[in-house]
This record gives sequence, C-alpha cells and structure tokens, in this order.
Amino acid sequence: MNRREALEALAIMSAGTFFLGGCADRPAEELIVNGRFVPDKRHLEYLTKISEAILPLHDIKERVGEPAAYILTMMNDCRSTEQVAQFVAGFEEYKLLMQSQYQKLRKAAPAEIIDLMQEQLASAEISGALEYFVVSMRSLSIDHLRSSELYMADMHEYKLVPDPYSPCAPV
Amino acid sequence: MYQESTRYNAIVIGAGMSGGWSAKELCERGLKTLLLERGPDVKHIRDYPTATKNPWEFDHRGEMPLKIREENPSIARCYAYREDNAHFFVKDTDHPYVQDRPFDWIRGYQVGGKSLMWARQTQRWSDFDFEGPARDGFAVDWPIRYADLEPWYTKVERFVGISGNRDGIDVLPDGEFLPAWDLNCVQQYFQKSVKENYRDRHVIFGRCAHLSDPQPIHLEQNRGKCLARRECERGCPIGGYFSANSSTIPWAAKTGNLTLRPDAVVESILYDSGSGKAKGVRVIDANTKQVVEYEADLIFLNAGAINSIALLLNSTSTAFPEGLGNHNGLLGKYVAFHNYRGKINAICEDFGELREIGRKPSSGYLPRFRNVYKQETDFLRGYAAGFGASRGFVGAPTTGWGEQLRESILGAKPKLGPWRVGSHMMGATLPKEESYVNLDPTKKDEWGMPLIHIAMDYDDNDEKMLQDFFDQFSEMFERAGFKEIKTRDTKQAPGLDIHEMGGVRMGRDPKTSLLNEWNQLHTCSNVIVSDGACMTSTSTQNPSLTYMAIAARAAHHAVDQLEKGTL
Repeated sequence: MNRREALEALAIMSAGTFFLGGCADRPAEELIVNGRFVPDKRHLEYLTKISEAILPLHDIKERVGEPAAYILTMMNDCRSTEQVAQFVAGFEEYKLLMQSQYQKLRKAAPAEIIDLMQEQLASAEISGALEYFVVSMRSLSIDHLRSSELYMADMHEYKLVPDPYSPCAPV
Repeated sequence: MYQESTRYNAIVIGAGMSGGWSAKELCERGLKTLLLERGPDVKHIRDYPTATKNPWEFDHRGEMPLKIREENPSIARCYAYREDNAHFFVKDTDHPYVQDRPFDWIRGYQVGGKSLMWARQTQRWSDFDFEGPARDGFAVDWPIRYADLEPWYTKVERFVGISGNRDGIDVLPDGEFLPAWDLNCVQQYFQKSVKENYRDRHVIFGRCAHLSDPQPIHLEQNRGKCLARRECERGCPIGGYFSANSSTIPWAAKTGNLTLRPDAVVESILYDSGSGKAKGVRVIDANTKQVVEYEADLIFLNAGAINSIALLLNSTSTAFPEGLGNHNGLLGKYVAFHNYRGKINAICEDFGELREIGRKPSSGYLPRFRNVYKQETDFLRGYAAGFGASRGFVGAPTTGWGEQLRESILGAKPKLGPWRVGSHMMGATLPKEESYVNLDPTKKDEWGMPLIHIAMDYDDNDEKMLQDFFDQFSEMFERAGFKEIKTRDTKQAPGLDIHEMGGVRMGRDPKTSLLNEWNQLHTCSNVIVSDGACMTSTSTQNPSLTYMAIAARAAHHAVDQLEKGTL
C-alpha cells in the first residue's frame, strides 16, 4: 500500500469512526490557536511518545526534562506561524498514516513509530509537511538532550563557575 | 504642569559608564548631585535576575524567540543580545529612531546603562591617537594630548581594576594593572610568530576591567575577584567586572551627596540668557509623563553620544535656536564609529596535546600597527584586532534512531576538536560632516521627544582598510602556519560596534568645535559633555576607558572652577 492508497483507506476509516464520539482524535490542525500549536492532553502524549521513540530518555528525564515541552516551546516561539502550521499538518498526516499502516498512534510501539518515519523519509512521495514534522521532531529531540544539564555538565564539562584557569593543560 | 522644583549643585544626565564617573567625582568633591536616568533602576545584585542560571534553565536555551527577532532587527543582530540578558537591551520597537542610512543602534536604558553589558576592553589612547587628526588632516585637532589624560587614566584604572600586562608598546601606553590572565598555548605561539616576523606588531593580552586580584579599593566597593564565568552581560553579582551599578554609583551614594532619579527622561537643558549659563533641566517622568524642572550650577551630559546630541539639539532658546551650544551649526555632525566588518578564521593543526581549562574574561589583542610612524598605505589611520584561539568539544555525528541515536550522543564523551583561531578588526573611521545625528521636525516619541535621525556610513577609506586587514592578517596567519584561512566581510551596518562617537566634538577653535579642552560648551560653560559625543576622532581602542578618564577630568575641573568662582 503506497502512501496515497493508505490515506484514501484512512479517509474511509475515519468516516466510519466519526460516529464513535470520544474515541477519535481531534485533527491536530484544530489545535492551532493564534498561530501557535496548543495540543490537548492526547496530542501532548503523542509528542512525548514520538520523541521518546526517536530518542529514549525515560531513565534520565530527571536531568534532561520533558522533551515535548521543549519541542512545543521552540516550535511556537522560535519558528514562524507558517512553520508551525506545516509542523501540525505533518503531525496529523503522520497520525493518519500510522493508523492506516500499523495501528493507532496511542498504541504504536516505538519501533513502529520509527519505522514509519524512516519509510516516509525514504519515500519520494513524502509531503513537505510530513517531512518537516519528522525532521523537526528528530532535530528538536536531539537539541533538547544536547542543551540539557546532563549533556552540558557531564559531556561538555560545563560549569557555571569554571575550574581555575589553566592556559596550556595537557589533554 | 510643574509638580516639583528642586535645586542641586550639579545634575548629571545619564547613569551609565561616564555618568557614573561624573556623579562619583562630583559627590566626592562635596557637590549635592542629581543623577538622572531615563530608564528604570537596576540595583547591583538584586536586579540581575539571570546571573546565576545555568544555560539549560532558559526556556529557549539561548535562542531568541522569532517574534522578538523580527520586531527588533537591530538589537537581534548584536552579538551580546541573548535570552539571558535581553532585559538590559532597549527594544527597537520601544524607542524607535529613523535610519537615514542603515544604523543598528544598541542601547541600554537603565541605571548602569551599557556598563552592564559592555565588552570590558580597556586600552589607553596614546599621542598617536590624539595627534591623528592634526597629522592626517581630518576633523580638527584634539585640544588635549596624552599627558593631559594620563593621570586620569591612572585614577580610573586604579578604581575600576584593570587586568593587563605592562607591554611597553608606545601606541598603547601601559597603565595601573592587576595581573593579567595568561594567553593560551596557541595565542602564545601566535604572539611568538608575529614577534619573529614583524618588528612593529604585537600580540598582547587584551586589557580588561576584571578584578584578577582585588585591592583594598575594590574590596571597599564590595567587589570580589572575577571568577571568569564569562556570563558578564547578565550582571555580575560578585562585581568581578566593572559596571556603574557595582562601583561608581554606590560609591557616589555613600557620600550622602547623591540623589538618583531613575525613569527621568530629560526633555531639555534650560538656558538662562541673562547669565549666559544653563540653569537646569526639564524632565518628563517616564511613567507618569509629569514634567519636573531641576536647577543646578553645573550640568553634565553623559546620556550616550547620540542621546547627548539629541538633547542639546532639543534644548532650543532664543540665543540658541538650533540647539544649545550650537553656535556654529556643527552640533550633531562629524559623528563616527568603529569599523568591525572584517573577520578572519583558520585552523591551527598543532598543539593537539594541549587544551585550555577554565575560562578567561579577555582574549588576545593586536594594537594598531598601520600608519603609526608614517603614512604607509593608501588609507588613513589603521585598525586594532582581537585574537582568539580555542578548541571545543565535537560530538560524534548523530546517527540512527532510538537507542542507536541515544548511543551516538551519550555513548562516548565528545572529543576535543582542532584549535580554531580568529581575529576581528577594530578600525578607525573618519568623522565626516555628512555623517550626522539630528531631530525629526514632526515625528515624536511616546514622551513627546522628536525622533532621532541617524546617518553614518562606510567610505572608501574604510573599504581600503578592510581589504588591508584581510591581506595583513592572512599573511600573519599563513606565516604562523594556520590552515583553512577564511576571511569574511560581515557587511554589518554601523552601530553594531556600539562605539558611536562625536557630534559635540572637542577642539581648540570655537568656530570648528563645540567643546573646549575641559569638555565645556564653548558658548555655555557650565554644560559639560563628557561622554562619547565629545570625541573628536575615533582611533581604534574600545573607548569606554577614555570616556571615564575624560569624565573624571572634566568633573574635577568644573568643580575647581566653581570653587574659584570662575564658572
């Protein structure tokens, strides 16, 4: 099933689930308020789930914080409204593709989340919005970890008050 | 509507780098002094909200939100404007001005002004600088020489605390220094290479206003040893670097003679035609917009070059319809700046076994070497340059997804990359009559003050100097064996150097200048302009140290005259 067929199939499925109120997700595009993405609880969980699949941090979250909060902050504050809209459209497309090709996102395993992203990135038919969403999720997840206390202090030896200055120390 | 009228011995307009010095000197001499600042108060330590935050504690991890960048393109281009100190910068949108030619005006409207966010580089001028206009035939001759300022440099340096070496270089006189930080191994190597290859070029530690070894005078200011955190532009709770907030203003306050009045927008200086002197200032409260007048025997203008010009232009009277002291039509003209467009970067492939541990608050510095003893190029004057060398950690490429991606980031500690070296030019620009600051005839700001027009630009001299910087530094880098040498013209507009100068220049002849050798207006002697506006030429050094020395000197002379009854 190629991407277009999957979307067509999903549209039919979505029509069927329209009447199952409470079970269906709201389209992500409905969660844009004044150009900002304001996810509901379920979409926030999706962002967390996707980010965790891309870059698992579950055991070190105490020192790196919540990636979804960071991703949302950076997307809403540091990207244009057009980019936010593209990100959200890509997010919705990803959700629908997941549902058509694997299962609903909330039940998807990390491997399925990654597989779908890799498949789509490899596809010549990937839409601009979906590509932007996937690339942004991956790069922002990485940025989040690399700007965290754990990475900066432990890996880059950052200290607010540095060690005494040594101009020519052996490596 | 006048709510209040209060009399002081002296009024200082502007509580920043030079204004702090004016206030300190006047208060120490026993004058009841009113220090006016258009922005809010910033109390040392209390008002440094981000000073002790780690980088990961900022919402955007250092990146400025897009809306702020889009709405404030000028400050967004400033190297020092960051998420952690944005509260100290004036937003373009809050205080608009008119760019007759592109000019990125970087301002700090608060008590302390830009002394909170300055680069802290403190190099003295020499007679090669003061004699420049007379020798090369531009602007007008400075009415002072190095000998006039030398004791004031010393006084300022002792109080401020300057780290540096006594390098014995005639273009950059030595001063009263605290111990310098050492240059790192690559900077030392370049220093040696330059010394071997050039007789008249030097690489030194950039003298800076940091306390490497606090002396009793600094401890008396409640300032402590610089920890080299390099988070200076947030405000330093230790007082490790000099700011008006940590040093001159609290010192002035301790005398009991200082009244600090923040949120005070000075509308004009009031002129008394009977006495031929200024009698006071008219102030608009920044918040309530109420108007208040204050009177004083002495008025010190330290609002920052462009605002000082604007305030004089707005101080009109029958005697001075074109602005106070503007008897010759030169007020606001001959403004200039520093040319910071040139950058050069390269790799040093040696010293792989060495690294720098910790941080230092300054870097290498190359004093001006062009056209010093004789004219040797097809452009006038010259440039100084910084020289940095560092090696950062380089993480492995981020590969894969899931656990593989995590492993690529956290699996192995990043390795030290190669030494990267770089220089940036600090070129003198020539003050020109066509470079100006003036006032809009109709448009006004929120406080009813005319909008300020600014027009400065590069000229052929600057372009030739830029090319020479590229040529000379490429050669120096090549001789040092550096690789991958790349030059870059940032093409940045004037302003980002944050060294705007002139417009109320000093000079010997009242026909061609506005201030005498003591920074008094030729035609209104109790108005003293002792900030960047007084500069006759720009030379290459970061100017704040010179402003402070000039301000201290001018204040003392004015008080002397007042006491003798000759003012």
